[in-house]
Amino acid sequence: MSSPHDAFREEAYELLTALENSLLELEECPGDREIVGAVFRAMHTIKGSGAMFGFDDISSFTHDVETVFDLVRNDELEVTGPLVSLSLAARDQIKAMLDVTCGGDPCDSARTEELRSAFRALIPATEGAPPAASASAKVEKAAVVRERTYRIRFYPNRGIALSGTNPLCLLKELRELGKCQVIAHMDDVPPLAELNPEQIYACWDVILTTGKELDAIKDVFIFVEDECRIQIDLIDDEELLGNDSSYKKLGDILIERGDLTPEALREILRQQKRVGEMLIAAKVVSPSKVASALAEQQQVKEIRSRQQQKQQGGGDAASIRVPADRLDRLVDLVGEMVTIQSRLSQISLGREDAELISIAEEVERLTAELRDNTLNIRMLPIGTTFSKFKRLVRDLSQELGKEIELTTAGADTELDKTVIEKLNDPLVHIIRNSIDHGIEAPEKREAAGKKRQGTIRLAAIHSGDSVIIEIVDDGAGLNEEAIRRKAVEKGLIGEQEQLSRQEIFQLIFAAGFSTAQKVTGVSGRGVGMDVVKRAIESLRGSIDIDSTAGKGTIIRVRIPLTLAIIDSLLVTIGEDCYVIPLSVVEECIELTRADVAQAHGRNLVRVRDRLVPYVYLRDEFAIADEPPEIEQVVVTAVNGNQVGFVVDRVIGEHQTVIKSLGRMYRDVQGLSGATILGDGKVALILDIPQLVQRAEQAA
Amino acid sequence: MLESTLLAPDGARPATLRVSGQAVIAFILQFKSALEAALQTYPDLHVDCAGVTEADFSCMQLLWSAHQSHSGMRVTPASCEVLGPVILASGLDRIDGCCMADHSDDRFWSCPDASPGKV
Repeated sequence: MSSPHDAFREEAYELLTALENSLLELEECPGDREIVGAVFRAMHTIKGSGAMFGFDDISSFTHDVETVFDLVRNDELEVTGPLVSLSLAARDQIKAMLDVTCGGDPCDSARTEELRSAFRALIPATEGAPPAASASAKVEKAAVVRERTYRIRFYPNRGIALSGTNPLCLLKELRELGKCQVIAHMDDVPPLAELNPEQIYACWDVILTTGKELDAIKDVFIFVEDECRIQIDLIDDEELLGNDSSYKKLGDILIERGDLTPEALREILRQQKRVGEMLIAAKVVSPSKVASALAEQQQVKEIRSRQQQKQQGGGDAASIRVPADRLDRLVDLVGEMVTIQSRLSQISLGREDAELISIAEEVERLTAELRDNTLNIRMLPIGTTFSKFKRLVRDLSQELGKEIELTTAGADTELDKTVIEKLNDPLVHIIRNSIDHGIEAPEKREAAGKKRQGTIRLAAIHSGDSVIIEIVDDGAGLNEEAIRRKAVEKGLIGEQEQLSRQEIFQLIFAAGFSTAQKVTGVSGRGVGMDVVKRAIESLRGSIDIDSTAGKGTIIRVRIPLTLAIIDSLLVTIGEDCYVIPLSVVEECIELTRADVAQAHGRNLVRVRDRLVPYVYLRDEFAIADEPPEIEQVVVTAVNGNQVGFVVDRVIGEHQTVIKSLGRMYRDVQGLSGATILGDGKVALILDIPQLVQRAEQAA
Repeated sequence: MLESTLLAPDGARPATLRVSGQAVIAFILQFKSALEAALQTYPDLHVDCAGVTEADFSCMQLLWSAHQSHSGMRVTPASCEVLGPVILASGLDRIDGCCMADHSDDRFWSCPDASPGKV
């Protein structure tokens, strides 16, 4: 189990991500109370759990921010642009403080104090005490506070203490809310011999009379939601129930709490006549009127009970938190399993034993199911990455004096966790480029007849075993002539070279290429798009670009769903096996000696009515032995172009568990990894885009 | 750190498990082992918590469970500066028989040095 400190860090990082999104949403909808509540709760949780796990500096700093948002929550402070900016800065500072605890760079304590002072300045001072010194910064309203009494049933999960939560801290927080009685229930604590002392068997009833809102009680438990069951019932409200000092009968309270069954109570009260019976006997009310009243009572009770059950049902944990490294290990094991299964299948086919073949097929089916389910566990919605870009666009557009709106679509599209992590940097770079070079300044846009506010649209859609991510801006678009001139100047193309529009756009992915007139801190150093392309290709993805001058640019990134196990085509050249990712394969055709002779020395093959260039892999890998009479061409699609790869034989589809190459082979071009085949042999995985690039350079 | 020393009965003094240090979840397994071993030999054990510097609910729960299984077990002192606030914070003071409750039936633990009226 990870330590409570690790658990806190993990949760805090998640909360900070959510907090950033909430603050950005709040900037757009300053009056939205739900978002204000979300910000407050995030701060409250970080503060509370920070204090609980000994992160006192984080807790103390967050307390001031929380205090300000408590004022906002109570309509005592307005949400303004500067407050959002300040809160975002505070969020960054909390993250920096958290990073320090994970071995990150030292935190700027002067900045912490500067921000703390800025927040404290927003808190109205109360008489006789400096604002920051008050235990709770909430400023009570002068009006008479309406008090309510709640019954809070707190059932901690048995393992709550092991995750670092001290239930007594929660009870202490409740005591701070008002008049409070705490009663422990020890009925489930087992005898000493059976007791696991690290588990908590007790539960508590808390009777709390408070002027605070229900949210304040919920907030106490907000960071242990997954570790306990909470039932909060309003049992008395002075305004709704009046000043009647009488209260429910003892039996009713016990039944309401679930401590006594109605049957047991009925059994005890059996000898006593019921109210209805007495009323009927006294001829005060007719039997039908009593029956009607009882029916109403029964129905209302049933409905309320159903509603309550629904609410309780919603609170049950539907998910569990699992450390990422355990998932990675699981995927590795499934990878091993796929390899072994492949070997079993191969051996079973060789033995011609029907029973063994049947078992092998069953294992194959189960393994495929296990593989898909395991890989699905690692799938995350790409929205987790998209949400980070809102802040990027906000900050950069402010820095550059531009007005830009980021819209997103397909945030629910799922990709492997590793792919999402590696995708972040390239996407950041593309968006920075769009903001810096694509979207024009507001005045320039108006002069061009456009809206002052530019738009960047980020969209993700599923396409087979890939996800396509589109980054679309309505900026100035690419200047074909400028790109061409720059490419000639850099020696990337000849002055007279004729290029298609698409080929010209592809030039911006060349190393050191940049058409920006000035180098800014944002982009324009010419080290960007080639790095982006390499990063995307390292994910076995591809990138292409389309643009219309004055209208905008579309960048399309195609990424495989997963990096761990892929469907591929197994081929042989000489004695060796190679793997081609199936996602790039279009078709396979034969290549005869006659076809080669007809091409007059050029590596071209006719595929129906088209001539397709091919790479002769036997030459590429310097394989000396004699090729077969009839070879095979695997036709692939790379960056929208068809390219063939000549191999000796196509074996067929193969489930490939990707193993990275050792350090010695990492820089070998044209290979992206290796895999182990069923017979134990190693097959190299071809890096198709890189092989095409090499071939183009050689030509 | 939690330390415990088992003292054999000596004249009028019953067998005593002297506990000192942190009676908290981090050392609770160790506390349970010591308590269990001592109770096996001496069911009327006195648990002397005077040296306890820190306690949490896991400690309270352990003592509760031990007392439920061995009603002759006693915990001293009644007015322990460390255990008292934890008993109050846990809401155990409201349970009948607790050394800090009003009633003395079915007591939580016995306090030989408690004042009359308290257990």
